[in-house]
Amino acid sequence: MLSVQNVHKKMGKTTVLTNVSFEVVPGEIFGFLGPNGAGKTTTIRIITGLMPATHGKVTVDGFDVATDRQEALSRIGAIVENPAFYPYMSGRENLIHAMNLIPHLKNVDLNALGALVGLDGKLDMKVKQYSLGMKQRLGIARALLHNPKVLILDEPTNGLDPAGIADLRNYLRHLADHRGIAILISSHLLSEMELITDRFAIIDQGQIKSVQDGETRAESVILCKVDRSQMNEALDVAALAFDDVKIIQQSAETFVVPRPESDIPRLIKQLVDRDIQIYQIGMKHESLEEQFLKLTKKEGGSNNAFITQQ
Amino acid sequence: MRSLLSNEWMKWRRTIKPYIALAMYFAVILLTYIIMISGDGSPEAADFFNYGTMAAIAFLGIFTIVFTAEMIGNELKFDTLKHLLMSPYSRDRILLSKLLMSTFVMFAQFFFILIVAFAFSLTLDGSVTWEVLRTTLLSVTGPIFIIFLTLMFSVVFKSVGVVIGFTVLANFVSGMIGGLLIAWKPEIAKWVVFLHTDLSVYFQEPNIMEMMDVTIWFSIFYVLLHIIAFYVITAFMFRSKTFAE
Repeated sequence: MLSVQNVHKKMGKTTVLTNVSFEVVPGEIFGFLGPNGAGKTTTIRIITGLMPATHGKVTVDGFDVATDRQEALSRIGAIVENPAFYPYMSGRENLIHAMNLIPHLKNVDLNALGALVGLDGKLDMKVKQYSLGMKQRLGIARALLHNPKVLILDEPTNGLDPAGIADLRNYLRHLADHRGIAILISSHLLSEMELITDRFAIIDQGQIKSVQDGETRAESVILCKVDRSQMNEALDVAALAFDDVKIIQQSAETFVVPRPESDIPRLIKQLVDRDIQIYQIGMKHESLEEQFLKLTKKEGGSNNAFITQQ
Repeated sequence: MRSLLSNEWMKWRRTIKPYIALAMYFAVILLTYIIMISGDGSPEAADFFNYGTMAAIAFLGIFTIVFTAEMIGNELKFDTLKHLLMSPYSRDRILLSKLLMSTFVMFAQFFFILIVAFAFSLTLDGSVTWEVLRTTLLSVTGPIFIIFLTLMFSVVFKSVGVVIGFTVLANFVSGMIGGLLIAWKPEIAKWVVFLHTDLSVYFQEPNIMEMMDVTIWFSIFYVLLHIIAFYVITAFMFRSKTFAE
């Protein structure tokens, strides 16, 4: 549905994006992660026709954003950077304004749309009286006005309270599952992204470092806690049992073995055979944040700036 | 295009400024009326119409700068320009809608001034003559020129204040320098476009234009040339700028 192919962007002498490629299919929620200045917003600006790419192609439902602008952009609903409105007009008037920007769009039930995003009865208030969360909701309502095939949300959870974030998550899931909308979300909130997205791409310094799906992203390790006096012996046992992986000691009494769950019985057997006291054993799932840090650290990325955003 | 114009109209009428402008024109014309009727003798309807509209059109020039500057400036201020540029409509159409609305808004105010001044003139002796009406109608070229100039500055500068400042400065400084040039170097003054923007001068003070050795057709052509150049520059910049923060 949304295809970004080898997009390259230079601004002056600076290369902002290098060969950025990914696809978002109908019914999928795709996360776009990266620190500030990584190129997320530039990519989104190119997708939404706000900025041309130096090289590469962006298509929406087969229509090229650069050459079939009208067809491509009429299939996109988006919030870029932050939801911006005319503060002196009401929420309803802002939606009417947005309707007028889509050719041939008529008869939209604004009240129903308002109710859908939790703004029922508040559409006639002036936007300057809205809280940030209400503006986010209105922004989503505006992005959905014309039943787009692709929904692009740049930091959509900004300003939303935990209940609002949960509502948004459920609503986006509903849109993806029932309307088949392809959703691209960029965010700093990795824990939120982990809950919402089906797949995600990590971008850093203008390059896609990794595109992962739900299966591969749940990278897991065996975490084992033993008596601290037997730690060295336990590490030797594990190393002998799994000579193809690196055993990592995490603390005085815990170590991890990067192996699947099916290897737990084998590890237990080896440790018990050597009379090592096991206090705890199980799978530890690598969080999105850990994966992100690992990926960007590997190649001298800019994750320090990212951590400060949390 | 109609929906884009409808948007521009909605944004313009929802602010307080249009109503302040209309009240201001009414007040200026009323003030002119009071001053004229409180003097010695009975003023002529034609004289009152001439002075009243002249005074109000001076304000129209200022409000035209403000309204046109805000057409694009407010979109940048509220960060809403990105939504316009993300729409399936081309940037050329969006810019054209802003130009057309600025022009429409200016003409609407201009006709409001004419109607109010005419209504007051009905209470006076005589009637508004064609010569006076012609002079007033020709003075509209100034605000038209201002629209194109302001629109060009709006694409260059982000701040509405800077756009207004530059347009006012360009108008007044060029007018002032032009005035000096008419006296000392009229052959150079004829190339200052700001001295051609008010065509009513040809009927009110024809000797000025004679000094510069120009005709009304030269002025029309010269102003038109500038207007086209301004719009080509504006459209080129509006098409190519990213307007990113």
